[in-house]
Amino acid sequence: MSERPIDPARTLVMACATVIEEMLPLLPAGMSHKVFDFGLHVNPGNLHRTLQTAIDGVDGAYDTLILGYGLCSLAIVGLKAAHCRIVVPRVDDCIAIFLGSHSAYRQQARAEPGTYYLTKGWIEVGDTPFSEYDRLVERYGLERAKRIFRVMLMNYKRLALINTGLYSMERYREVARGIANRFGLRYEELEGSTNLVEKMINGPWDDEFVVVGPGQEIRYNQFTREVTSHEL
Amino acid sequence: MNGQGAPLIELLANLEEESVLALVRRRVASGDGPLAIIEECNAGMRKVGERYHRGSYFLSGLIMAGEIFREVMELMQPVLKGQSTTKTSGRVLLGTVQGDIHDIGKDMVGLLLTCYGFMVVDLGTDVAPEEFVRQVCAHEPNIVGLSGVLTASHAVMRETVERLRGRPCLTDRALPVIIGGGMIDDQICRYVGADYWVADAMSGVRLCQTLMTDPRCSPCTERRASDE
Repeated sequence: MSERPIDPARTLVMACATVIEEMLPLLPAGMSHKVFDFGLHVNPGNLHRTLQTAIDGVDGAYDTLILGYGLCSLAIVGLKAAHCRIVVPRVDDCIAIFLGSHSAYRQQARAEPGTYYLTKGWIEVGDTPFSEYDRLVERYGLERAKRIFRVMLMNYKRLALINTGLYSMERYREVARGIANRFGLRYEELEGSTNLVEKMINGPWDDEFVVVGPGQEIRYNQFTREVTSHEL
Repeated sequence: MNGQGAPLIELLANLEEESVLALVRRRVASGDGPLAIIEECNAGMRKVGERYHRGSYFLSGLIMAGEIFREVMELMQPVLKGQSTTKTSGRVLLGTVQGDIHDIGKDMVGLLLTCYGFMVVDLGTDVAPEEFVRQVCAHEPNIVGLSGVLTASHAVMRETVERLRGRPCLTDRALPVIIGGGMIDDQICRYVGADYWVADAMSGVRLCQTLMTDPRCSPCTERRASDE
């Protein structure tokens, strides 16, 4: 893949509030960033429109836009910039970013599909289903709130806190353990990796990335992969 | 729709569990048709979905709505059983593909299909492609429904469809495969190699009904319940 060198001053990182937490400590001097509300992921159409509007607003002011997103329920499919190249990790969602690769995520998903993942970013943003519980008790009463959570977590067994090694985890560990205890999940801490984040920022943008040139749209089929038999 | 329709839609949309169930009981007692009640509940569910996408409901709202819907379906079962003939509408095999454990939508489809006279074989969640093949050969369904919410499930759905197409019990009889769950559209349906995709539970039921009478409807185009 032909790659122009990365000029931090001509590069803009556009990232979800949870992902930027893992990028900020590694951003080189002079590289700008723009943060987007985590809540946007609930409505992929809205996330798409928000990102496209933001891209249009900075188009031409930078050479490269690095998206701190994954496929995110197809929200990024169809995004384009007339005058910039766009780089995005070739992953389904941010969990792969925190774990360091698509294959690390697949490995975890295969080992225990019923896993709810948490990171520093999610805990900071405070926008997880668990943070709804007290509000639910207030609205529906304790018994109904318990019932909703029983359904919500029916097939979940594990709560995994991903530690990318960038932050002191004491506080987040305590929060995550508390959630696991409260909702009857097994707590586990997973070793994350900054590998993908470092490559997002510094390259190389190899087959773990989708890179589209000026005027080109991000396409769904750039993200598809075959499932190998050992992944089943 | 009779005069009681709108209140039921609104009550469900507002997640008023006890009022929904009380109204449904009254309507059943007064002899209202169960399918009309189900259709109205489905309209209420659509409103819940819209409110979720607008941000006025959270995930818990969707789940609460699903719970109310399930309870209504349970109330409907004896009424429907009393009305049904011995002939089923068809046999549908459902499951959430391997690596995915989401089942709220799938369960809703299963319940609705049962209400509309289908025999449902539900394989549960995290179902391996080979297990789908084994169960298809064992149950010989008319239709297979693959569910998956994660985009990572698309590749597994594709693998599942491929193995179903090469199953040892392959016959000349068509076995339509429908996918549903998360964000799915025409291009994903084509990538997966499925025949059809649906975006909500009632559309799935309508499609199954259509497929039982006209197995030649156009593949990989969006099917909406309102199309029928």
